[in-house]
Amino acid sequence: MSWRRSDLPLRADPATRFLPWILGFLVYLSALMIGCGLMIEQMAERWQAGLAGNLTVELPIDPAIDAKTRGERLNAAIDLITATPGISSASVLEQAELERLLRPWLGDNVDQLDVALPTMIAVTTDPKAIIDLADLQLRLSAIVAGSQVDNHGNWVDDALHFLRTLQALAAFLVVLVVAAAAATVIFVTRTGLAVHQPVIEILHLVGAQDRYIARQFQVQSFRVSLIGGVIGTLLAVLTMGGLTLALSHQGTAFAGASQGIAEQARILPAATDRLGRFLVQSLSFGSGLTPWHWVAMAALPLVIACLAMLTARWTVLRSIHRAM
Amino acid sequence: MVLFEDVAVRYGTGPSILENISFSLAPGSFHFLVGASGAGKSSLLKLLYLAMPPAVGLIDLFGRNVATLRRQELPALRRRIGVVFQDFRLIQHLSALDNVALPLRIAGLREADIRKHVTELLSWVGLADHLQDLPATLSGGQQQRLAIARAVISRPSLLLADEPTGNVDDGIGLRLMYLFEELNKMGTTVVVATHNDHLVNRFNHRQLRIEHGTVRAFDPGVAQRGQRQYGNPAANDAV
Repeated sequence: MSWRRSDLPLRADPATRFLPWILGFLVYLSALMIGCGLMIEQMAERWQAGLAGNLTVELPIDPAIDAKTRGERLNAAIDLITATPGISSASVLEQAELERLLRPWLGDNVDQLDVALPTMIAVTTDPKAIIDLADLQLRLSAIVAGSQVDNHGNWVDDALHFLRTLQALAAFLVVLVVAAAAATVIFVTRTGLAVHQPVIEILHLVGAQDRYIARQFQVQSFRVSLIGGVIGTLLAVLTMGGLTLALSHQGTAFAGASQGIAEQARILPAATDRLGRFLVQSLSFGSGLTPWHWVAMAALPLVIACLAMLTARWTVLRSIHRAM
Repeated sequence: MVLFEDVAVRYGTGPSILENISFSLAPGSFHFLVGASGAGKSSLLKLLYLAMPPAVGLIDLFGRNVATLRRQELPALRRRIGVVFQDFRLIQHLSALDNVALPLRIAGLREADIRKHVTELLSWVGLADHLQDLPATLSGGQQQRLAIARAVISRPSLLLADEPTGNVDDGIGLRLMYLFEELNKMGTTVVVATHNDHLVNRFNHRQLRIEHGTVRAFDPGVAQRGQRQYGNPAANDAV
């Protein structure tokens, strides 16, 4: 049977005429969800990669200790840190830099506050190295009591948990939308079977197998689903691209917030400065997707069309078998 | 080729339309199925073209007991049966050519062969100028010829025609009967249901007569020996 010729006038069915639009809308929603899921995945990977290989060491200030002793202890702490296997470098954040980073949170008079800011040391490590943080903290505490070593694990875990929850929600919504698409195809196919029952009976009487009749519905479902899928995916890509463009041009709240996050991140080690940039980049659709993600998005209409085709086939075979 | 033994026809839980039907059709035979309007000719044909199962009894088609056929075996059997429906049952959105090509396409023939055979046959039945016409644009007689062409295009082993000359003038009707006879000479078993006595009398073929809710065989050639019921296979062979 040719893909263009059909013994059943399915193209003229009112229900079939609406199918591309309904499926197009459902594919549009699916594509948005999948796009969000892929961006979240990319964001999570970047966060993990950005924070891998970085530590922050915090040395509390004891006012009772004079500056000279404090300086000697700081040098001893840095010597200890840099001598630890797996650690590449360590640098102390200057007081002015710390105050600048705290200014968005504590106000412009941060330098006049009667608060002793701790000494922060940004540490770069070999990402593949395994460092015993507890041991490092113990040894640092012997030099400066109350020293803290933070690899930002808790923060990253919470953030990743949040992202994974968003991803799961997006996946669940995609499943719902795909189920709605399948239900629509089943409904339209059943309507077609009822409307064209006389022709189907003739086809049977001249020797058509059930699968010959099913193939006509399959081809039609595939065709209209592909049309709807392409339209829906294109619209979804345009929507996401438009949103990205709008956000990048807005440059106010979004950029300010992102900058705030980036600046805040700099209170942590220097590497977490990259986290802020990642946030800004990751929230941009274009930079958030890899070429494989684009391939997945482009394949979406085909996947939906194949799903619709199989659904139509299953519906026809099941319905005809019941009816006879 | 066809064997009916004590077959009854019933729609749903209603009363039997036909009962105690026993007859056989030899390969290459030609029968008229005659009876008054509403006697059950179309119901008997439905049994023959496997559109409904018998309420009781045995139907053997081409050596297969239809009661034991699996669903996927039905199409192969149906392809050996050509049917001319009383109401034509043409597919209205398909052209004359596509309607007639349907059995060949379903059977999986090559498109070039299909077009060649269909064009030849439609020329033979006088529809050469209507290949791309839709059935609705054809007259009743033309539609009937189209339906006949669809039934015979695949050279079926068994041809069933329900009032095939009902909508055509005598000339066309005779020509269609000659077509059936030609097919019969080529080995096709033919059953023509009709209430046209003139047609039945003109062609000296055996008859299946539906009377009083059952089927009786009648052979004009041995009419002087009277009617006999076809329940006895030996008698069938004799007829």
